[in-house]
Amino acid sequence: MEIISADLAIVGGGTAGCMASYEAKKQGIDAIIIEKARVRRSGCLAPGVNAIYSYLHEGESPENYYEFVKFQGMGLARRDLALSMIKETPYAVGILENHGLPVLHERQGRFGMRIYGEHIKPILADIAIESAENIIERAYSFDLAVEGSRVYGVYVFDLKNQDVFFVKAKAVLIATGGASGLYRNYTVPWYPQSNAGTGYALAIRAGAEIEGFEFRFIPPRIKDVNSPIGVTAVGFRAPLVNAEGEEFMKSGYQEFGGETAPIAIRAFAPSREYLEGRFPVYINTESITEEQKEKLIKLYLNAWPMFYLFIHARGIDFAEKMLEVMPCEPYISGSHTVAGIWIYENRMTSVDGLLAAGDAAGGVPLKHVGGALAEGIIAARTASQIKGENGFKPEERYPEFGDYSWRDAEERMQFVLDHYAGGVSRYYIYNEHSARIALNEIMNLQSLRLDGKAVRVLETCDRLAVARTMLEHMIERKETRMPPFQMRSDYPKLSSSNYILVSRFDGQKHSFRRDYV
Amino acid sequence: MIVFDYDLCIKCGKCEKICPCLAIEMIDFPKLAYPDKCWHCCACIKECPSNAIKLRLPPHIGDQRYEMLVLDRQNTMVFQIFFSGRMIDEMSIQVRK
Ligand SMILES: Cc1cc2nc3c(=O)[nH]c(=O)nc-3n(C[C@H](O)[C@H](O)[C@H](O)COP(=O)(O)OP(=O)(O)OC[C@H]3O[C@@H](n4cnc5c(N)ncnc54)[C@H](O)[C@@H]3O)c2cc1C
Ligand code: SF4
Ligand code: SF4
Repeated sequence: MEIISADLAIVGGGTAGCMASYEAKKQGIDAIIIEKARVRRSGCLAPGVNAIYSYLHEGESPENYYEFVKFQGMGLARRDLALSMIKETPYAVGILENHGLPVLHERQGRFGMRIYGEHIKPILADIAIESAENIIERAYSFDLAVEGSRVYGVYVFDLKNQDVFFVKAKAVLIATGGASGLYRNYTVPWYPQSNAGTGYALAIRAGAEIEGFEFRFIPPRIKDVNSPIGVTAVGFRAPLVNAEGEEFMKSGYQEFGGETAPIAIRAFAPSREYLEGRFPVYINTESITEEQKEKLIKLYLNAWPMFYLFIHARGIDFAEKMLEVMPCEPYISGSHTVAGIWIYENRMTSVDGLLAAGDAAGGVPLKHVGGALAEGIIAARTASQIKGENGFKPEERYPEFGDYSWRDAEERMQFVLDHYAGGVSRYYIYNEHSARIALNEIMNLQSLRLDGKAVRVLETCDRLAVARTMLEHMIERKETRMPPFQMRSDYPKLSSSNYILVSRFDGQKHSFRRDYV
Repeated sequence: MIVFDYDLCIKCGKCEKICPCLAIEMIDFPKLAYPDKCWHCCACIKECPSNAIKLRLPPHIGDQRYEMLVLDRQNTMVFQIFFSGRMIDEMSIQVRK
């Protein structure tokens, strides 16, 4: 087995991973990026973005940002992580601007920076190419080497030649994003299928602590095309209306902030309108001018180009035919909830030498591009402090393949989660009994050895590992804390408890509570 | 869903390599081997040197006669909408300083 050595092994050449390689070079350490696809267009940023959210504008303080995300997270947010993260965002965006990203220096919402971001990923790739010692693409990280409570490297399956190699490193950074493709989807997923929750699965198998996995992310989106809605709702102050013409956010959710309520409530409210029969739900764009319309389409071309095709094929004229809104299937992602790998302020996980950043890491309910960039930077600085030799001798490893079709396993998983673990078809509701049925079935699927194209088999195994931990968390939280992200029919009353649910798996499951401080 | 025009395709393999979701496979010609893994991100369309790939909506979303092409022109990206093969609209955006 080939062994490659580096100071820092970065798993995932996405937003956080590319930025980490820049800072690693600046701090004088060698970094290797291991990427399953191609860094130039991989992960969340492949189509682009039109604003960098979680950006600290002049005149705002980090404390203001913390208060903002705490409100967005319905009281649940880690202060240490939020403060340390937001401080780095002007530095991070400055690096992108220096490399050619058009930054407009205009606000998009309170903590957003408008950009022309179609090319943000190719620009990040340029940064990674000039910074990283080595970038290995089409390579899937499938296991960590952990002994005692320290990480020594990562086992990688080369999708090009089906070989396994080992990257030996003083520090390993998990930057694989969140998990898409767990639940059955009704249309094109919003979160990229490329992000199969690998980083979570690596951490779970390595016995690292996981936090907040009971909080799934369910985004309210433009129905069918599943495009982000924020630019329309916030940027153009377009309100949500139901089939009866009622602006239900204003009439029913004033106590949560009405039209600007936390994102969970903005997903919960339309899903109630569906459940109670007052659909379709629209985002009212009637008052948008011709000039604004062109601006809006261009914003989407920067971020979700299918939208342009959608409005033509469906004959949508904003003035007459309003856009429909519907929340989609749940994901696990640290970008919009506190779900993720537990990290300390320096972005170290509970395993020595193992770092996490971006959507893979938990604790801050609104992280976005700004947060992922910042966490990549902080993690690289921490990595540069790790000294000492790594004399670890890796063993021969090969992923296990078998004869059960990955496709059949995946389809069963998505169906079971949809029906028993609060998917779209159940209006996101679950209970103890239903979640246990799902957990049993996921564990059955985990006992199968899967067959098919290597990347698909590895992804399915990772998704199953994530699904299992998610279900264990969902069962463990015996209350409804954040509808619809976490919402139970056997404990329907909205709770305002304030603890973090943390779990760890070392052959046996352990779970415990920590306070938000 | 993406559709290939095999008369234009020069079999360079760039679309397969760029796809973030590893949904395309090259066996002689490129093919959308895993349609349900396609994120509709247009990365392959932007990368194709011979404009051989277009985007269509998944059939349950809308009219299959509409297609989108994206042309990478260095500092701008040009998006074109086609109806039954005829271009009916075009928009472009700046992508680099
Ligand atoms: C459609 C969409 C629109 C968004 N819009 C905005 C917006 O307008 N503004 C904003 O600020 N934020 C936005 N976000 C959120 C933001 O994009 C993400 O929070 C952020 O980019 C996540 O960065 P990351 O580094 O954690 O993950 P990513 O950038 O997704 O990187 C993860 C990387 O890991 C790789 N990988 C995965 N598994 C493996 C493996 N096994 N081995 C090797 N590599 C692997 C992936 O290929 C990918 O390159 C949006 C997200 C989406 C999905
Ligand atoms: S549109 Fe995106 S996800 Fe679909 S095949 Fe092309 S590159 Fe892959
Ligand atoms: S990138 Fe275009 S020309 Fe090259 S193989 Fe793909 S479709 Fe054919």
